[in-house]
Amino acid sequence: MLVPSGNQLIIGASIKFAERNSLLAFSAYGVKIELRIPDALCSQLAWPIVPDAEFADEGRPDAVLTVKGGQSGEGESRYEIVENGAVLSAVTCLEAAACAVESWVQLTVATLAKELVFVHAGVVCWKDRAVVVPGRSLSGKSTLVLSFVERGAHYYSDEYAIFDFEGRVHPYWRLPKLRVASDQKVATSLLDGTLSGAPPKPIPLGWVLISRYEADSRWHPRRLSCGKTLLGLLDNTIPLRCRPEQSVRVLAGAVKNAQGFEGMRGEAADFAEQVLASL
Amino acid sequence: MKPLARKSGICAENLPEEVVLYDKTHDKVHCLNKTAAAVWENSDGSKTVDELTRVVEAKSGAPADRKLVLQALEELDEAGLMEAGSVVVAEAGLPSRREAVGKMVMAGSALVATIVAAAPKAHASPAPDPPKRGNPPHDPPPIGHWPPDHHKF
Repeated sequence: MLVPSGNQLIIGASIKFAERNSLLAFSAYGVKIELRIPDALCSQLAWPIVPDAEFADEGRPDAVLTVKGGQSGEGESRYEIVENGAVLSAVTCLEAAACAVESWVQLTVATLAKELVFVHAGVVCWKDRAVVVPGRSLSGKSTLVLSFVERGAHYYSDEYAIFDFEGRVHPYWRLPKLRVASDQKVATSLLDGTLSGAPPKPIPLGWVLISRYEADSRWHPRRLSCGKTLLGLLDNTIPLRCRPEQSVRVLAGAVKNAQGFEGMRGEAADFAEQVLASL
Repeated sequence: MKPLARKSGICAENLPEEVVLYDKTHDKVHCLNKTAAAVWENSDGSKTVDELTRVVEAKSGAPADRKLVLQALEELDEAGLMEAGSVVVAEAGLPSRREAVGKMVMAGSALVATIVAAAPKAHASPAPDPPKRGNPPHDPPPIGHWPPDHHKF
């Protein structure tokens, strides 16, 4: 549902915003989002922007993002990403604006979802339990997940491990995003069919792997205590500052029956091979 | 010295062998081993270190001596988990901080592990570079970074 809200003409210090805007309202994981963006940007956004998203036009949004499209004084395209009146970023092409919107939506949903705890991590299912590899952006989660899947693990997520109140891990059901075009092709051919089906059921946490890349390393991890495993998850927990009690309680429950390991890892393929052989 | 633990603004989660604390004032998470947890829980401002040592040994089930309790107190104090001024670290018999840290690192035996709770925005994906025509896909940046700079394992 795209609802045009009419032309907008805002004269800034040096930028004219005069693009036709649309309003896009949807909810995902219980969070209602409203986007007010130029029509041209709407067509750039892949739908669903985040898994579990459904159009929703009723009720007050939990968060609103506005993108103001226009031209700078030099005639260059410019898009300002605005939240609560504050400019978060400004980019000069539609593709970058679409990436910024997608990134904002993803993080906002992960922060505000009240019934779930989102941990920045890659996840696969192995022997009916979740293997969770926490890591920030650019830490290589997608590549690692893909390597696990190539060796027989079942795909769950390349971005978030989503924990419910019973400590089970839910999938973040989208195509992994890789930065190298050839890897992206592998991901698509490997998972496109799988992802067209229904997402898999939530599963108990089995293993948490805290790893750091070092060329030529082998995976010789040390076993972590329950508390250190929990710290490894909390270090990558999105809503930790917003909802600390809930985050700590939910993840503490999850790690009680799991095993945590920490160590250096080499190339993703070797790491996946060594890990799956040891679990 | 009668140590007093800081408990306001802190939520605690008990694990089988440890206690994890979230400090809302400083947005830090601490993992206390059995001994440190027993010291923190029983530092009520009424017990001397010797009395605390006996209580800790009885309650934690782990062997504790005065030196270990003092070490735990110092680490808890450093982590901001004791009321200001209730722990005097210059007690006789306590190794210097540098000596103690050196030994702990060697033995991997810190009693309190701490991380800083990251703000949600720290988890944002970095903005992509604007695409340039004719350029091949660029290599990914180096991957892996653990522990993060703010860690104090």
